Amino acid sequence: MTPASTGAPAPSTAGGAAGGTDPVLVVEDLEVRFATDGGWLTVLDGVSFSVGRGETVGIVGESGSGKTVTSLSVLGLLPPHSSRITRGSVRLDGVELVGMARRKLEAVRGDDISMIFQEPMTSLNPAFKVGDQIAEVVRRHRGGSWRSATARAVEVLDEVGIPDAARRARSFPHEFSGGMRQRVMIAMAMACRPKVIIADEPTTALDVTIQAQVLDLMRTMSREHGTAVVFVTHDLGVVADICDRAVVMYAGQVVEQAVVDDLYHRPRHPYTAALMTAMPQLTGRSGRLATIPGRTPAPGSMPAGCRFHPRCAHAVDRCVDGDADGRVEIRELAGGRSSRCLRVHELTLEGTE
Amino acid sequence: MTPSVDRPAVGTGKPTAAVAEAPVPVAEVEDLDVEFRLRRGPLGGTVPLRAVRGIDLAIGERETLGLVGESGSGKSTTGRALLRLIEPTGGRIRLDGQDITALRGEALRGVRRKMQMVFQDPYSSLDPAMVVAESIAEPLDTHLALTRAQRTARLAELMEQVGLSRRHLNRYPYEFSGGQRQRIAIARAVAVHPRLVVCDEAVSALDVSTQNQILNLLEDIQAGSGISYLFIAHDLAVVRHIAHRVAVMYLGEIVETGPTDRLFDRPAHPYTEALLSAVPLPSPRRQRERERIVLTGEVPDAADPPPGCSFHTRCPYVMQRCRVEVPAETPVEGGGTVRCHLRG
Ligand SMILES: Nc1ncnc2c1ncn2[C@@H]1O[C@H](COP(=O)(O)OP(=O)(O)OP(=O)(O)O)[C@@H](O)[C@H]1O
Ligand SMILES: Nc1ncnc2c1ncn2[C@@H]1O[C@H](COP(=O)(O)OP(=O)(O)O)[C@@H](O)[C@H]1O
Ligand code: SF4
Ligand code: SF4
Ligand SMILES: [Mg+2]
Ligand SMILES: [Mg+2]
Repeated sequence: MTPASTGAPAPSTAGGAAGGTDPVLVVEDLEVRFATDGGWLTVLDGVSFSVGRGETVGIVGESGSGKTVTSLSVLGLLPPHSSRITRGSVRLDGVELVGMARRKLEAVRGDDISMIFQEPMTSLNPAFKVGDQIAEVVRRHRGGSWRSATARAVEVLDEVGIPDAARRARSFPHEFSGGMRQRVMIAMAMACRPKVIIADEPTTALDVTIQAQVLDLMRTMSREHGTAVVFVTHDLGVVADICDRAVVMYAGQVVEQAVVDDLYHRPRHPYTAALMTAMPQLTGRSGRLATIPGRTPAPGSMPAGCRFHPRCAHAVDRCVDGDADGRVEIRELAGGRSSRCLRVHELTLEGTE
Repeated sequence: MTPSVDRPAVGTGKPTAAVAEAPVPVAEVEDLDVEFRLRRGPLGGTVPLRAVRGIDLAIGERETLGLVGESGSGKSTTGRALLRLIEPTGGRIRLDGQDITALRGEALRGVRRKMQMVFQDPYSSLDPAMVVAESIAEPLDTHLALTRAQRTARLAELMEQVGLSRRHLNRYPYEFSGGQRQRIAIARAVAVHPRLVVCDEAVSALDVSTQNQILNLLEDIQAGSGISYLFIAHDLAVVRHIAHRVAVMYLGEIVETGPTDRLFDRPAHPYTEALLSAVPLPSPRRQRERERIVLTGEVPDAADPPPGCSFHTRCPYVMQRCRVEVPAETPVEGGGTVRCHLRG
């Protein structure tokens, strides 16, 4: 056992400018509604972002901001009866996924695009050996014999660092620790060498020392196989560690998007800046902790104009009016970044350094 | 207690190193042991699991002691044993110098007032069928004989103290956000003027802004009433902010204690060092440039901890003697104690 000094990756060139020239995943103007007691409510409002080949893009924001709904929409896994994609597009390598027949979508999922969730037990079947579950995914998408699929399962389990993989392939999910189960999930997600992996809070339930291992593993796998990763998290530290670029969500909208170094060094949206200022620092006490007044609005009662205006320290009258249509549109800025703030050119905001 | 410099500093906002003649701590555990029986094996037999293995802790007046460590290391069990919510298998628990280890019945009920708890999920501590007023009044009714008017006044005062309105008293828990529910849980905990509140992952489920509001509230309450906290959390940045001293647990043992700044700036135990190094910093540049220790291996089975130093299966500095010899508690320069052969 050696203390390994590993560096986070330098910002990838693949997706410098909003996903770069060769995006593998393009989400455009996505609107999603949910059926509630109060009728159909809009929970995602014009979400757009793209992911370059091999790039890791973070989606970050407070709970309820729409991160999980975004990842489920991309995967075509929204609850079928109580939700609808009412506008927009999700293209995977140029192929439109919105409106795709269920059969066809199931073929894409697990093959070209796959997922890792916070609680692996919800995605792993407790009644089957993990090796068989991975082999099943391989056979469904790649065909071939059961035997070759099983061999592939052992191979990927070994790749993700499960010791004694051939034997452990015959274990059941509950026989693994939380960290090892997450490795199994990564193995399953990687088994068919997808172009994109959507990971929704994959390390949130893990201890920090185990989280560090899993992040290193995801970084290595993504680099070695050129897999693009959409990494959903509420933890700005995790984004800084593993992502090339990040998309900040607030109240069902993307409010800022930039290469991580730029985002942290000089945020261009007051919400991003407020989140960063609020992070307690591992390096020391800084008087009273900063808070953002009020709380996230609920779908169905979104503030007019800029949705962040009731909580924003920089709000002025025109923030309530918004742009011509009463909303605030995304502003494209130099360096391939963007911000949904009317005052973006007037404000200088503090980052984390 | 074993001879040690790990005495709580008392009365000051930010304690420094050892205090020569420390007054009686508010709460203290000595050589605490908690054992569970685990059902395991094909014959339905049980095996012992020592969740807490002979630990010493002391919490001073107006002090916040942070308790950190991996999942399953015994933090909650320690907190619950201290509050006499579970029976320890060994050791002593003292509150304001009084041995409460064996108290029963009425006597136990008397000291219970002085120790309260706030959990991660206020849903589990607030009865969903009770309006807020009833939830908060429950400890008042159990422990204090208040007149109707006094009771009403105290409820209003508590609501104001935790930043809620009196109007909220007649609402049900589901009508509140996570942060508001945590305020209600805190109001309930401090209602009967306890000496100590055990906060077990009290802010872990909250968004950063709400979390900070709750942390500020806990600090305000401490500044006002001199209450002490045992603050159990896995978020080390939060612990650095709120704790005066910190204790680090690993597999049921305390491997390091110390004043917060010393422990975070100069960790003495390899596990503390690895734990701090694993927290990703919210700055891509600093995170890239930093030396990191990535531990290999998994947390061992708590029912079958390794012999010698229990961290030796994952320690980057492991030596031959670590595998056989239990490291003794040693004072650390700058305050606190460590159990590691490197520091012996
Ligand atoms: N009622 C119980 N019966 C059997 N074992 C238990 C019981 N409560 C806790 N344990 C075991 O005791 C050990 C310590 O558990 P404890 O809940 O104190 O850990 P913790 O440090 O609070 O962890 P976390 O960070 O996950 O809350 C673990 O191995 C746990 O599985
Ligand atoms: N199945 C559902 N039915 C109704 N509303 C939902 C459903 N799932 C999520 N929502 C709502 O959509 C919004 C976004 O939720 P989510 O994407 O889960 O947030 P995040 O992952 O960012 O915490 C929230 O207001 C949430 O309450
Ligand atoms: S538009 Fe106005 S209210 Fe919204 S973030 Fe910008 S300054 Fe704040
Ligand atoms: S005693 Fe040995 S194994 Fe244990 S922490 Fe110290 S150096 Fe590591
Ligand atoms: Mg979510
Ligand atoms: Mg616990």
